[in-house]
Amino acid sequence: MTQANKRLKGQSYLSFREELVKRGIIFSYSGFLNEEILTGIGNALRTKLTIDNTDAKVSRGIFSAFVEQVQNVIRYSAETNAIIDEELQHDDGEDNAHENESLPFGMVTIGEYPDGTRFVACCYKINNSDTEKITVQLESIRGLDRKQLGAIMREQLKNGQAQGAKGAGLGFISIAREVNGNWEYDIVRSDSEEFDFFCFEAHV
Amino acid sequence: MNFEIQASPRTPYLKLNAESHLIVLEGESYPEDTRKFYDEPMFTVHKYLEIDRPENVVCQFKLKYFNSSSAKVLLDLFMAVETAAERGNKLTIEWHYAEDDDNMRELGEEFSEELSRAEFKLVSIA
Amino acid sequence: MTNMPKRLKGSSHLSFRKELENRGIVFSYSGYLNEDILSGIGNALRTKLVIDKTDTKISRGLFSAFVEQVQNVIRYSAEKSPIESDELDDADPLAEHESLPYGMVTIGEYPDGTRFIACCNMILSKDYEKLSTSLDSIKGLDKKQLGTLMREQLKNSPPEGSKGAGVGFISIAREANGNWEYDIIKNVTDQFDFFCFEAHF
Repeated sequence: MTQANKRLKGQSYLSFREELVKRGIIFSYSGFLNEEILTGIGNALRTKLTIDNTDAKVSRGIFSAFVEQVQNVIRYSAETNAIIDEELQHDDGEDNAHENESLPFGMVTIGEYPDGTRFVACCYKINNSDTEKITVQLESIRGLDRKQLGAIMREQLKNGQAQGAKGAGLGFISIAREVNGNWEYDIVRSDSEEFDFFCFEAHV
Repeated sequence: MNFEIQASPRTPYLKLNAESHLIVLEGESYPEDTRKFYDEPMFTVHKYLEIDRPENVVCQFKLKYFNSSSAKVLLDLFMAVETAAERGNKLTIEWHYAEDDDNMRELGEEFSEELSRAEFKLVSIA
Repeated sequence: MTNMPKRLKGSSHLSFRKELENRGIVFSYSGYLNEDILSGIGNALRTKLVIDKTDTKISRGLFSAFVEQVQNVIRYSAEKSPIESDELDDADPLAEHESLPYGMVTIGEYPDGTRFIACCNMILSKDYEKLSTSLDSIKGLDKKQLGTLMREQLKNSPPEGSKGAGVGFISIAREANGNWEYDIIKNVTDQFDFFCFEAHF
């Protein structure tokens, strides 16, 4: 058998691992997301928090930020591959989650800064035609405290979403409230593509 | 009208007992598909609440966690309870929370702003 | 609210994203693993292969290698968070396992079109000999030879310390038609070596 060029360099994976450790990252996922992955990582996260005897309030905040953010990626990532109907023939007759025919791409990171602050961050591409709108929405809740965010949340729940907003507000309002306003976002603009890169990070 | 749905890791235990006039939501709520899980049972609960009756109806929320999609379902239920109370019916919402879970207590207090005729009870669980 | 120094740098996450793209990586997970994560990523992988209209044989091989490799990490990663069984709810699906295993899974495509699935996990340094010997012993075997070896192993009882049928790597090697590699970086800590395994399709 021909000697294949060794492509696997353990060192390169190890360096990647070490980079994560350096940045305090414990869970890192980059790829196509679905609800099952959310469930799986969510369970592993919860178990880890229990093992570490993490304060109950902190644990709840981390888990909550994680679920909301990943669901945001799943719903709003502009980088979504779609399946055309005929390609997805299931003869098994199972009515499972594959009926959602799209594969949204995104990144999730969970970890801890040197000062002990936990973070949950999500990044995904957005249409640059939405950048303005998202910026306005997030700026409008910046600096609001828990009580104010709770009231806004109730308003949104009662009155439904503004036309075309796709509920983008509610998930962020909910996270912002739970982390007592300790959150940040960043949008990296791209001149070349039609997408900008959106990042949101909650601190617990 | 009665139904009982067992809890799953991501969805709560749901019960409606029309004889004992008890509605229960218990456990975790972050379904993969909120509408798929809640539409049918909530349709039944809302129908039940539209009927006038002399007995006190109790709606118990015993949730450990719920996501923002579920929040809409919960608030709609609060509003339906209040509407029934405004027609002169007797209704109580019980909001249970773990005693160290300030966040869940506050959410209950926030939602209870919807109520004026219906009774609201915060129940702290050790 | 105090003005906290901004820690989130979108550009740093974007560079990470670009780094993955440069290396042809489409799926990358580093963290504690469980069966739900395996099936979740597995389904996303399968859907992606359908969308890309990937050749069925390659798809099957990739998926199969993915499942075997991740299950290997779940079973054999030496880097675990210990679990006391009374800390977990009865309802917790992890309660039946003894620990949360840590590992890395990477799936992607090289510039020449070769798909790869790589898994990395820590192993106890004292297990280095045993692992490298058993992998070296199947290096260079072709699909047919690996098939025969697998059948032999399945007929006999699993090797000591094995939690499955003992044929995990043989099975992956066979699926990949002998196109696989491994690397072990020794003594990354005083207890652990860093083990990587990669299958090509």
